[in-house]
Amino acid sequence: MKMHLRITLRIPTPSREACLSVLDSLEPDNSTTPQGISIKMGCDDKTLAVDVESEDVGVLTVRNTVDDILVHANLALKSIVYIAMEREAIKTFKLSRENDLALG
Amino acid sequence: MVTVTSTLVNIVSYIKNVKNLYVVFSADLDSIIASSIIMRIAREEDVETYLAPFYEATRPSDASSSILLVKVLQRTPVGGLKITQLDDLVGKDPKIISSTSMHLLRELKKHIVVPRYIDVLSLVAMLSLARGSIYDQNVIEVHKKLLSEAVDNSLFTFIDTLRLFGYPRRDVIDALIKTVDPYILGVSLNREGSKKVLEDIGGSVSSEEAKTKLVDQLASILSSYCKSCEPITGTKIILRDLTPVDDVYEATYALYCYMDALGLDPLVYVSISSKIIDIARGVFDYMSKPLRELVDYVIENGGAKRVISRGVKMGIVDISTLQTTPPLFVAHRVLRALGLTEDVTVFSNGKEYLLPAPLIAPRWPYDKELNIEKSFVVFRSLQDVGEAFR
Repeated sequence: MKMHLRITLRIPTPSREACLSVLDSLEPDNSTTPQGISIKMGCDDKTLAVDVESEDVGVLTVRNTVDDILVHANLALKSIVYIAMEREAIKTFKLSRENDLALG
Repeated sequence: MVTVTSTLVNIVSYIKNVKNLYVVFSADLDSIIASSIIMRIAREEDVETYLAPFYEATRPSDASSSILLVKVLQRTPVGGLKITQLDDLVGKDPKIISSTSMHLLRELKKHIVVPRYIDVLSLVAMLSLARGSIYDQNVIEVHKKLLSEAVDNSLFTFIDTLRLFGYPRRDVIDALIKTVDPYILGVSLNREGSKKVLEDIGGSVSSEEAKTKLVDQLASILSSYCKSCEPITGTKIILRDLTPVDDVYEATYALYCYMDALGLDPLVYVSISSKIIDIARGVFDYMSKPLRELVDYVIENGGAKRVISRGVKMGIVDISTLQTTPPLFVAHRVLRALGLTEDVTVFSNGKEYLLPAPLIAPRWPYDKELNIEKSFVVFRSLQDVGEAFR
């Protein structure tokens, strides 16, 4: 009997721009996935959607593939969230400076 | 003189035999990659390791500590500490500008199994030494022998092709969008512009005629502003299909960008992950909008303003109108590859002058107070910038 597995991951990101950047860093791995496993990825607005499907592949292999994706996505997302937070901090700083100046 | 035999013993035994290892590294990619490899080995050997860029590294209080300088000059004597130059340990000739990471890799391979992504990182380290365009053939010439000794030759090959990032592994439209060396105005980091160029030549480069048309069109765009371009076709390193990284030239810029956006220290630590190049590519993608805004603006204004301060030639770029700080060292590299700035680029935000940290001459102990923001140094005046080079 053939075993078919399907795992869907939905990972929230701060913006569509951030989601597309994480997607960009994840995509090459698709070319090195084990035989029998297919991965589809995309951005549903701000949410990174990853669909892992396997056909007659051991559960452990699928789990390792999902683990790899999560570790990789986590690292990529942390980097981008950090930059996004800094950008926001700079904007807030600039706005508060402008307000200070306007108030004299 | 360091003999081959003593090098063999030194590199591994050095790390194994130190009590605490303090790695002081310069702010360039080659040094960061080498430091990351050292940290990886030290961890495997359970050696306590501390890392810092040269401008932040203080003297360790424990006199039994060992200090390893990675591409950092020691100008003044420091009493009571064991200081070693990594270049001496790996048998690198100090008179030749070549990659420390690649020398390190060559020596390590004599003792341990090295993951393949470190071979790719050492190619990046080598390319990062280019002064102008990343396709500078002198860099390859200098490393020819070392390349054959250090890097697994099943990993890459040289071919004559279009010098677009990821091409021919990637389709031409994506390659056009991603290419920033050379930066093609209206095409680089610009999906609509790239589509338009491709449509103009018939929609694909499947025939030699179409390829020639594309080359002519790109060369024509570049000729209007590029002052020192390498040809758009020529020899380049191609990673073979089994490597998950698309392009080693693109990877070099992606790692510059990671360093710009997140700082030097994070890059040393994250380079331990085999995913570093992919992660850095995501960061590059995220930073591409402000980079494009800046580079387009500089090109349209005829390049950086050239000045000399305290005898140092520099290009000045105004970024005061930009909403977001772009990746400054990447911007410098892109503009330098086009010949639109000097070896030193200073960015002005209207109040201060920002100098990418990789442009500061590395020495230790560092005797100047620097106002560091992540991966650039903030100066109040151009005179202060010039002073930093003394």
